[in-house]
Amino acid sequence: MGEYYRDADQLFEIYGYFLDSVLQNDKIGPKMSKSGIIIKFIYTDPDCEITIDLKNKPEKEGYYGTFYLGPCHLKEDVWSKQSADHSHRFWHGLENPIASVTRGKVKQGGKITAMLKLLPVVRPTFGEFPVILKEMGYEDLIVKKK
Amino acid sequence: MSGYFYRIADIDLSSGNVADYPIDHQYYRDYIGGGSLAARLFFDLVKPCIDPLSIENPLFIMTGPLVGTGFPGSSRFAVCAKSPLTGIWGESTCGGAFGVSLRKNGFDGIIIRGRASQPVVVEVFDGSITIGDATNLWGLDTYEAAQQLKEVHSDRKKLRTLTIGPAGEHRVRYASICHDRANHLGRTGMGAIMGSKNLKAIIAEGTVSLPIADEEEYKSARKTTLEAARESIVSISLNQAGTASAMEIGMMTGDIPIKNWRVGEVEELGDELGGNAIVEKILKKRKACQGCPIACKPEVKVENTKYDFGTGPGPEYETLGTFGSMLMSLDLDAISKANDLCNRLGLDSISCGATIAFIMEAREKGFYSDEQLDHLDLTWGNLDAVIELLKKISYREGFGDMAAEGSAVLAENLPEQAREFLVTIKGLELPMHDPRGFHGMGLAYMMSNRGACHLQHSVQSVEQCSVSWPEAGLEDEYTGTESEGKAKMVYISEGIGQMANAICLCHFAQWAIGLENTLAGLNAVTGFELSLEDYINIGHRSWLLKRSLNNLMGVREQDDKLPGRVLTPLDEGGTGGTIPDEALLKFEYYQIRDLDPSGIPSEPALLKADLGFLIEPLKNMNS
Repeated sequence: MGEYYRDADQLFEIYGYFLDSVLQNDKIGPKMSKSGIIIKFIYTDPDCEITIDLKNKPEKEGYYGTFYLGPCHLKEDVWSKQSADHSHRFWHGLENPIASVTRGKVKQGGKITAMLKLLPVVRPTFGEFPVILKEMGYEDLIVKKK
Repeated sequence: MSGYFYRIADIDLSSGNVADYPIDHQYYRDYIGGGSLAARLFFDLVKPCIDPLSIENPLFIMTGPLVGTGFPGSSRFAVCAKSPLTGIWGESTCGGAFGVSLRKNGFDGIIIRGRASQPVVVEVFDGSITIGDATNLWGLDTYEAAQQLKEVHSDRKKLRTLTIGPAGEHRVRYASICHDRANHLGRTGMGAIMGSKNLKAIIAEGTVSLPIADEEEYKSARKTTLEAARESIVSISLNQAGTASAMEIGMMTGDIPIKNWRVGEVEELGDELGGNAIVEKILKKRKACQGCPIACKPEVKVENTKYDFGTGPGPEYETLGTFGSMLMSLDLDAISKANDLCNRLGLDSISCGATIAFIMEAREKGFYSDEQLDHLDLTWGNLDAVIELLKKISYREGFGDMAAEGSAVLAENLPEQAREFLVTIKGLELPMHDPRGFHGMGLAYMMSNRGACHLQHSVQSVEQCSVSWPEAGLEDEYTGTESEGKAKMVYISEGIGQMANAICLCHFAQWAIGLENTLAGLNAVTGFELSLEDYINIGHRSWLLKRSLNNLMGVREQDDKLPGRVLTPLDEGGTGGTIPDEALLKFEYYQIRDLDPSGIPSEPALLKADLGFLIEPLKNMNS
């Protein structure tokens, strides 16, 4: 198991809360929705997956997209595989996205450049992720900048 | 030795004589080719103090040993001379296929001296060179001139052309040379040198086989390299979204300059001008330089708007920056039109767009009246006025005559305060990578031998982590916003980048295939049996030679500095709140590079690089 998450349930709990916030955010949500893609994030340690649908009409009112915790029926446009620890640091703004890919820490497939669209869009959420961890009582999971 | 023809053509346009230049064969081993070999020949042939637009300034068109072999990314060539824009070493490189055609005539390069009495075209066919009349081409734009030449030589199906447009003819100091529409020698004003020689075009077609030292070894190296190139994430990204893919990443990292380097973020930038936007809105297809598996060049279609120009080469990342973010325009059609005009008129889109950004800010701050600007409404985002100005610059009409001198000369002619927003180093406008986000790039700009440049070294790929070359002594990862320790990274990256330019290898290709594959290809073709250390050291020799030439042209320590605008932190965006530590970067670099306090290479540094012949001239330059 990795450094930050004890199991997939804990990861789903945190990412579910985080994505709930991001996909209802009126500043970030519309920009994410504009990308019009379905992304599957495949995590290791713990092994699990999350799919974010920014292509179809959101299932819930007030959301700019739909996310699925665990396997889902949708065919993704692009997939991204990484360790849960790497993802955790990424959402703190502590991982260089170019280095992540070129060093093989993140593997991607499908319409890779479509993912590029989302990079500048999600940057403002880096400040939000530690705040959300604190709100959820997971202050111990906040990664400090060295 | 192999890999070369040992032939450099020596053309004197004043007399019309064409001969072989008696080159010392050892130069090939010592300098490899491209700008590096040109710099050595420049030292041998030219007095540094000459006027760049005089007949004493030769134009060097050089290839490298891999050019034409089909090695991935190796179809490039270099054009060099003393720059009319900066007054120091000028060098520009370009892809396409002209270098291949030159080599297939049995030439490694050509030197063009003097000045023709009337417009001429240099024709390189079937291993020989003739000088033809080009009076009927003078006044045509680059595309028109190339088209006429292709019609005249319609029997030559693989004819390659280099042409200048009105900007080169009128010696605009940042005039470019156009190679078959899609490829351009933009930086440092080499088009003005052609114009000053009454040289409208150079054309070539050839069929000579290329010399390869070890055919079997070469085939194996090429196969391995092609596989590496196809699998590389760099290649995949460039193929899918072109160089514009750097827009989206740059928006995250803060790499993109906005509004003449004074705004940190425009949220729509990535969406409107990024690689995906190009693909979705205007891309028709991707094109490749000869033999390149990456194919990053955009062919676009813009029609049914006032910016209609049909189908043609589209804007690359740098032009999206200079005519987009720098001028506060998000109109892809308008930027594409400006790009098309730069191509046709023969203007470097980096220096040109950056100069216009300077003019817009100067106008905003009241340094120019509407009357001085010929009543062009040069306000932020108004590309209609910009498009009008491009024509005026190219023909040196009205205010265009002043703008044709570049932003540094414009600033010199304005009150002192205007220099606060002049963004040049050694007279060359900065390319579209913000050193506030990548401090190593700041140092690399300061020390680049052709003025601020992102392609005289490999810092962009190393510092932004597109590559990992620990075998060259580089760290695995760098943090852009740190200055300490970056000097070593810049130093090594200069050696690597100088070698890519000497080989005439595309930087993107080198990122994709890596150093070991490049070296394997070079050794197979030349038989040099270079180690990686030898390889990088030749790059250092090239850097030191060009630096010494610049010293002989007057460059000193005080010229190695960043403009004040990029030493001013931004409030927002990926670079918000950080600036390079200029003094620290420079101090560490001078130690590693062994430059004396006045910025001149020390004797031990020159001797170590086998450049002892430079010691006396450098000693004597002030006497």
